[in-house]
Amino acid sequence: MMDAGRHPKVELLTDSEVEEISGFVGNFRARIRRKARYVDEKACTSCGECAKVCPVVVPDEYQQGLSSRRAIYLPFPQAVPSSYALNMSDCLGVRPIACGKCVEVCDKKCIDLDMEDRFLDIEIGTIVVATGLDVYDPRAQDEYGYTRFENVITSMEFERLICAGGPTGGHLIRPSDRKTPKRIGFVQCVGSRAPARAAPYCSNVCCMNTVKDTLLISEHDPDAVSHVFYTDMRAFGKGFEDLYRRSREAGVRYVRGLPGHVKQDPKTGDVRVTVENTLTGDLERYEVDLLVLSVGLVPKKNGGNKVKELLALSSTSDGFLLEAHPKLKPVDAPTRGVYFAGCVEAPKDVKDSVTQASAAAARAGALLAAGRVKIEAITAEIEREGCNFCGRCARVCPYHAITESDKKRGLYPVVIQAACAGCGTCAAECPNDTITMRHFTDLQLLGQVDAILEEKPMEKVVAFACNWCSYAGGDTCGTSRLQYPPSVRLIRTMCSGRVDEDFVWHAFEKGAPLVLVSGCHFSDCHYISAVTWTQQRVEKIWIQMEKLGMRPERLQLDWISAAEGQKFARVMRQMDELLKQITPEEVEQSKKAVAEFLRQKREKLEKRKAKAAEGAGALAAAALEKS
Amino acid sequence: MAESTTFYCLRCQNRFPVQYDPKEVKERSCPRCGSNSVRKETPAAAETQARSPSVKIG
Repeated sequence: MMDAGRHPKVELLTDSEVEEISGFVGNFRARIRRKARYVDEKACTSCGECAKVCPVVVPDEYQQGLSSRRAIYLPFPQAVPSSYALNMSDCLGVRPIACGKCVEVCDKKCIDLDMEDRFLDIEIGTIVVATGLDVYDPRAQDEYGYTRFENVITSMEFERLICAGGPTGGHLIRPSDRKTPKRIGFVQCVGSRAPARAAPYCSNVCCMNTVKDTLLISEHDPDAVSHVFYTDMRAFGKGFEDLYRRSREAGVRYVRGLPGHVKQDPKTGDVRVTVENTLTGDLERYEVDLLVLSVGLVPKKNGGNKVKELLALSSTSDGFLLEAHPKLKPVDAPTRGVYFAGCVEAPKDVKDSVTQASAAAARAGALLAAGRVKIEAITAEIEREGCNFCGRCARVCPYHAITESDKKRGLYPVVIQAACAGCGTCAAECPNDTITMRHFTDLQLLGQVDAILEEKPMEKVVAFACNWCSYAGGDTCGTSRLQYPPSVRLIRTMCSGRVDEDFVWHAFEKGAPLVLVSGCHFSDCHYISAVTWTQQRVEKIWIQMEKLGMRPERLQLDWISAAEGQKFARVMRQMDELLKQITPEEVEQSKKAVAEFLRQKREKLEKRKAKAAEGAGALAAAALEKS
Repeated sequence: MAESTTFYCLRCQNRFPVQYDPKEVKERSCPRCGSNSVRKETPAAAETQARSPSVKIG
């Protein structure tokens, strides 16, 4: 942090918040709110005289509330910049004016109580998101008595107690009587691996953190005894198994089983733990001086969602941000020019965070050094002719790659090619068919539908499969030598969001008995949220099918991931079963109904296009007159 | 606000309750066959379902 603060090419904006981000890779613009710290950070020498006279005492967040600080304070000893800051809400409390004692004693005159937030507009080429994480709040799992017993603390609180820079100067004490604990218990997986009550995932760092803590305890006091209550110890990294072995050799007792009952003796303050040892099947009782809850890691609450919205990012079901590809682009966000570092993407330890941060910096640096972006040729293009400024394309674009249109000012929507990822949702949603998706045009996809249904249509299932998941799931199915019926014919699109309503209707018009639309699971969508538009579109088609007297069962929807080869085979077998239930009479009947529906739809489209052309003519005439 | 709503599966015709919020678009699947072809049961949908031949899978 000190190095970053001193680097001539790094500008640290501390106590700042990103308010807005616009633009695209290489051309981002950010509006930053620099919060008032009421102290001139360049003039402050951190003498600390201001804090000595400050009458306001509040719990110190950095020390986990185990000690106090003043309203004017140094956030933590190694803070960069090394300057005091005034928390105005602590300072004022319920009073309308500050006492001003700090201003009086400051020789450098660097305290300004009238300082206000400032806004800074900056231009950025690439963005690295490293907003970190939060720690699980154990109050939700109160069977361990965190809210009831003083001598039950979290691993974060333990960290502060045993740290030389902590409130006790590194001297381990227990909160109830400030005595040095001789028997310490650790409970693992608090808030992790508990799908019904807390996070379903493993927090990755807790096991080794506990191992490290037990070694620290034995270094501090060789007579101290540690008990670790665990479900299973995960020592998977380089040197971790060795550390775990050293901990056991140092006398740390590992008990396989989580406590079922925890109680603190009101007289002695000792904590009694009852646990079923699942290795022996015995019910064991332990008495410890201090019980440490090894709490898990959770996604950032404050500001996490804001970053996600500002950068059009998506998250996995557990709330961490989703990378562009888990193997090929593990540090890239789906939005081009945005990278991840650290626990914003998943819980990880310091080493992994540094590795990912280095990779993100290298990726960002390579892009900036090149000075230009290489993009896929699969992007959308909007034709002005026929566009009626409805703005739907800009609304559905997951990447905000389409500019807003304005009929009054004659501003047509434009696709920013560098930002377009090529999902094709805009092309599928455009009611006037004015968007062309390069390499996946309407003509190309409809041509494939026609080819499939040219011969023996009653024996075919037209299946649209997204490139990244369903189609790849088919590959997995094939490479695993799994069998599925040959009746299903796949049409590849980059995203299921590209599947236009008209493709489905066209297939039915041409006599398709059954159509399948398949894509990624919502949490795996490679185009952030494009898959949600697929679902909404299919639901809309089901309603229209009912109106036309068709069974909605003839349009099926399924989310299949690239790894789900078995699911792919199962769905294809189900399609074949469904296909057998559909009669030629039913198909013939629906062909006529759909043909009539499409005829009316095309008429309406022609009228809309003509009206749009008239509007465009009037706009052009007005522009000419104005010029 | 999410409320309990009946959904039905377009593959196995299973009917099942779902906590449904109209403003929220989320992935849903049939608890019986695992299909994602599930939709909210409306009076019109129930009528169509009654007319359609039963398709049983798995």
